[in-house]
Amino acid sequence: MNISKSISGNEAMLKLEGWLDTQAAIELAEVLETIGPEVDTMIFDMSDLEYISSSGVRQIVSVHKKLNGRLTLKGVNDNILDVFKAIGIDKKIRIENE
Amino acid sequence: MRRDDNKKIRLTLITRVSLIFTISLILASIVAAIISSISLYRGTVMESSDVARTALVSAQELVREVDPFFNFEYDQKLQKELHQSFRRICSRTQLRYMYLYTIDEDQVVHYVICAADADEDDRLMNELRGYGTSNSRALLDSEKNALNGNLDGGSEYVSNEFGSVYMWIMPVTDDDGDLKAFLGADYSIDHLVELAKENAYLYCAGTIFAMILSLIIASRLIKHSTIMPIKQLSDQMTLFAKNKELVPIGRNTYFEDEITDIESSFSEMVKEISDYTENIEALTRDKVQNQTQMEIARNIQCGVVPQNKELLKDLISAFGFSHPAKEVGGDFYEMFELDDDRLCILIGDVSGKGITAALFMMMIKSAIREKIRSGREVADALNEVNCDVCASNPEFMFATVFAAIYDRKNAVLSYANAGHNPPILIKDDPAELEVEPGIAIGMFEDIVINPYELKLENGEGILLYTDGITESINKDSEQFGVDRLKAEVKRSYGNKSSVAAKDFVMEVSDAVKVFTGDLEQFDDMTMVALVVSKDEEKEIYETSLLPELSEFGKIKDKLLNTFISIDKAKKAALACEEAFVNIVSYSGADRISFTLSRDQGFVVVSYCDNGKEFDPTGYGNEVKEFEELDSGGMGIFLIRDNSDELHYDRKDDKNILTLKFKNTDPEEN
Repeated sequence: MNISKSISGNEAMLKLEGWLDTQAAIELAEVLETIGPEVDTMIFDMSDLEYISSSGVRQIVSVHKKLNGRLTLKGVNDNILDVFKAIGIDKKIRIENE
Repeated sequence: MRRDDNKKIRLTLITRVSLIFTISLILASIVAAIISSISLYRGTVMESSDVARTALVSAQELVREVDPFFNFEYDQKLQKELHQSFRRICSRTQLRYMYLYTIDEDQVVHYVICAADADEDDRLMNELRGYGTSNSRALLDSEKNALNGNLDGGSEYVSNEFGSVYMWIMPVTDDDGDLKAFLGADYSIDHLVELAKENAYLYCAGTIFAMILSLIIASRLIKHSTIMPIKQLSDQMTLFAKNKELVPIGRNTYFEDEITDIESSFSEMVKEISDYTENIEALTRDKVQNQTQMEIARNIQCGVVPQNKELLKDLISAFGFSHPAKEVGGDFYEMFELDDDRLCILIGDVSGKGITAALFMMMIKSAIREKIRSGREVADALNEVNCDVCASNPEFMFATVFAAIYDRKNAVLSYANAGHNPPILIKDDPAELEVEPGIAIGMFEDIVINPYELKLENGEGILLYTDGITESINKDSEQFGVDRLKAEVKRSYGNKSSVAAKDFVMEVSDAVKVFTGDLEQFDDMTMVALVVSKDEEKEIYETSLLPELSEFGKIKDKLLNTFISIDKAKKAALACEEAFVNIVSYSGADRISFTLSRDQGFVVVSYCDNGKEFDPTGYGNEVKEFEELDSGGMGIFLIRDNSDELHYDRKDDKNILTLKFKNTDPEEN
């Protein structure tokens, strides 16, 4: 798992690469801890994310709740979209695929 | 150049001939006028000469009669009488002057009588050349001759103070023949010319009239005999060039000439061109038809023979590949499962090209498949299809076929060959499969194709191919050949990553592509491979894991590599991870054993732990509300959603959770 973070003003962009499994979800939680309260909008770039487990989904849902829905997921591939659909969060969280 | 040609003035033949005739008419008229004028003048002179001579003779007679003793020199009455007579003669004969004179010893001329027709002339002559006048002019030739005794007389052209005249001289003799005097008679040249002119005009007019008449007749003849046929021919040629059709000339001729030669050559040429055009049109039609046929044949072939097809059963993989050439040959392959343990592959090549070959190929292919499906052994199936085809094969088409069935239960490959090239046995030292060549299906009814059997070891297989592979050529016109094929299979076998049939086929295909380079493929290339998985693939993998989340990393790669499709592998990994996380998080187990195995196309994962009793199959039916999701509960849902089967069992105080996953390429379903 490789997470890169960039913040400009009140907006944070996280690029997630590789496998977001249970172990990686802990890393993601640690990265999210470092983001201060001034950030109220986040974008997760998931175009190079290959896998997501329920722990990863849990992190995404908690960010979504914390920011009152100001979270956008980009580049979500079909495998991961299938997981979202199975759980039913694809309709709750804003997903932008070009 | 053409532009210049177009600018040329059009001059029709008839105009041209008329022009030539007119020019020649003018030239001929001029020449005729000149010649006739000269000859007429000469004629007039000759005629005048006769007149003058007659006049002189009559004058001489007159002198002799009137003055037999030649006293005219002294008798004035006589002179007057003679003068009057001379004038009469002049008037009658249109002579200008007539005179009588003598020449003395000193060659001095003494004039006696000079008469002229016109009064003015006569008066002037009498004054200047009257009786008693003399002059000593140079003597004329005829006068000299007469003095010397030659009394023939003569004529001469003389130009003197009286104008230009033609002078006739006649010596006058007495009865004894002695020269007594000379008689002279003059014709005016102007008068002669006048005379000639009158005649010439008449003559020229007649000549020109005759010429015009003959020219009209000649031009009519030329028009009908030469120009009209040429014009007709020209019109026909123009018409033929424009409309490509010919109206027959139908001209009756009594003679053969250059025009009839041209006409017959033209007719011949037209016939040849028409035939040639028809021939070309027919050829073009045929070509278009052939192209359409080829297109249809290609569509049939591509529809019936997929470019790629993969069949995966547990431990067996089969892969077919067909790449038709621009003009499809008639290669085909087929692969299908007979039951859980048996898989059939076949390959073939139909003689000929086009729709007939494509349809024959379809027929052969489905006939063999149905025979095998209905339970025939491969050899029997081929023999029966051969008999059926031979019974009705009006086009004399035939097909080479190699068919094989692999039975997983006893690992035996049973096969038969109907005239196809022997397949390559995939093993550490690849070789051509031992099989009799057989005879292509559709050739002879009474042949027998024999069955063969071979036990395939794990990791081994066979590669079926058509001659398009081995006969593909490189830029040096070398064939790929069986040796290169065997070498390529050997290389693939040694390569750890080549485990499935697809790997072998694609590596050979790539090698052929590299070998031929940019050259156009001239024959279909078709291959089918069947490979039995290597021994270790069957292994059941067992390991024990500590109840820590990071322990899943130990089994993750092993799990992923078991699957053919990476998407399926990810789904399985998700289900397995969620199951493992659940056990670690909730069961309180201190030891978890993990087993991974295969079972008839399934990958089976099993967790066994000594934690408290927990049956996850009973949960996860109800969909959780979104707001609760971050607190968990998604795991069981994902396990159920991403596994094909899920079982729970409680045995010996242990939880046993079994997950089953289909191990197939999702595209196949």
